[in-house]
Formats: sequence, C-alpha cells, structure tokens
Amino acid sequence: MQRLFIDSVSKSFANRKVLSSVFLNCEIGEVVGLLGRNGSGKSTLLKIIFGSVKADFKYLNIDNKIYDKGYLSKNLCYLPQDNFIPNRVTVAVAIEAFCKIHKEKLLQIPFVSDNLGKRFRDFSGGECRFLEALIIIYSDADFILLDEPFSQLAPLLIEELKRHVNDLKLFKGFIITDHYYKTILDVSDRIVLLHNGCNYEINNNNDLVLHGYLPNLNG
Amino acid sequence: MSVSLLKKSISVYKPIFVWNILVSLLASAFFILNGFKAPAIYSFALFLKLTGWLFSIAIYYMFYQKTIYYFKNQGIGFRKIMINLILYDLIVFTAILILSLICRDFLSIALANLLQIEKY
Repeated sequence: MQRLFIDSVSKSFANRKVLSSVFLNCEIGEVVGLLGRNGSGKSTLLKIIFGSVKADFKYLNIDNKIYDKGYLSKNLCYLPQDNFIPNRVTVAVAIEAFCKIHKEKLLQIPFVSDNLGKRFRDFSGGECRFLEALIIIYSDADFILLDEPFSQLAPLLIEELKRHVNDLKLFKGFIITDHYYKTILDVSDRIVLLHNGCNYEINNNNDLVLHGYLPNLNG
Repeated sequence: MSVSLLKKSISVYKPIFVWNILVSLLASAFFILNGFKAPAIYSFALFLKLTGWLFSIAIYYMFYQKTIYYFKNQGIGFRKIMINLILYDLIVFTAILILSLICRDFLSIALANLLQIEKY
C-alpha cells in the first residue's frame, strides 16, 4: 500500500514548542483534513513534510522510503498559501511542467482550456489561486499537500475544487488544511486536529468543541 | 548538467542569466585589453566572475524567493538550479574568452578606439 507517513515531528520557534511528537499518515484514496487554530502549526507541519522547513526532529516515510525532504521523492506536491507559479509563466507551460498523467482531464475544464495561452499575471488573485490549486491537484505526484486552497475563492469555485479533489482521490492521497472547517469536514475522509502541539483524531463536531477549536454554544 | 533544467530556469531567472553574461563580457574586456600574460588582471577578472555569481544568489534571494515552490514541486532544489546555471555560465564565459583570444587583435583595436572616443 502506497502511503505517506510522518512521525515524531518536533518543531520550536524561539523557545515556543509548536509541534511536539506529532504524527500523521495518508494513503492513496484518502483525504485527510488538518484543522487547528491560528499558530497551531498546520502550515509548519505541511512545510516540514514537503521539506521547505527543517524540523527539530522527524521521521518521514513515503512509499517505504525514508526522506529528509519530501519534495526529493518527486512524488509530493505542495500548494503554499501564497502564489507560487511565476507571473510570466503561461498556463500551458505550467501544465506541461506539472501534469503529464492527468493532463487530458485537466484540459476538459473550460476555465483551463480557454486560458492556456495566458500568463499568470493576467489573472485575478482568486483565478490564480484556483488555477494553481487545479494544477497541483492534477499534478503527477501521488501525494498532495494543500495549504488553505479555498481561501480567496468564491463559493462556486470552492464547490468545483471539492469536486476535483473527490475525482482525483482514486489516484492520490490528499492532506488539506484550511480555516473553512465546514468545507474541510465535507471533503475529508478523516480529520486531524492540531492543538497544543499535539494531534488528535476528530470524529464529530463535539470533539472539535472539546479540544477548543469550535466555541461551545450550549454554555 | 541538464539542458531541460537550463531552459526551465532561464524562463524564470532570465535577468540572472543576462547579468552573468554581462559580467563575463566585462571580465573578457580585461583579458582583451591587457592580454593573458598579466596575472594580476586575469585574477581580477576571475574575481569579478566569482563576485558575479555571489550577486546572482543575492538577486535570487531578493527577487525570486517566491518561485522556490515552483521548482521544488518539480523535485528541484535551489542548489541544483544554481549549480546548473553556474556550469552553463562557465561554458559561456569560456566561449567568450576563446572568441576574444581568436579575435584579440581586432577586439583590442576596437576597444582601444572606443575608449579613446569616450576620452575626447
């Protein structure tokens, strides 16, 4: 079984322990939702898995191989919070660079096929975000890390992005984090909450209240 | 050394590549004017090249750090890109030097005349 597995993740920033012995796993065909308050270490954990932030300690295993940096496996793609495709690159060039296996499916999306010749600087912030998210979702990697993919997107585009994640779930494993927690609950097969530097498996909304992620409206 | 990586990196880091070619042209001008027999001059020219590469890294960190994920998502790290760029730049620099050595008489007269015109 192909899977991504990270264990014993510890990370501190200026004497503040953000992650303490955190573990997370994701298999092909699964969407893992990662929730947590601001500053709980969600993005840091994704960056540690990808390899752009160095952990104090970690054990990362992708498809039964140990990696120091996840991106070196060439089987992991990460959508950061900010735009990452250079402005002068065209949609067609970006698709050529990332999506060879699922290119045909991606080109069936009208917004993509109608704008192939356009450069990323020609799109609005939300359109850029949508396109980047699509390119990462349809990339050749087996494991996809999405950091706030739904931010800046109109509700209609959020629904469309959810549909694409569900379509590609057969071939890939997704780890998604966002503050739109209802969207995350909808799209995920499993929810993990980061709180006080530790990870908790979440089964229902009451667990989110219990761990202080949602307010207790019943007093 | 990878041609496809060079193509990819030039499409994003064109200004860095152009900067290195300009430094190579400046360094070769020293060679042309003072010949290959003056060690102090070509040491300075090589020092210029080294400084040029350091500036390339500085330009990257100042203007292009946001593009880090574009390449990392393709499994390519910063070190690999820079080493590839520098190796190809060395080839370009060597080609410029060989050309300037072959056409040295012509280039030295042309450069000397150019400098004289600027003087007056």
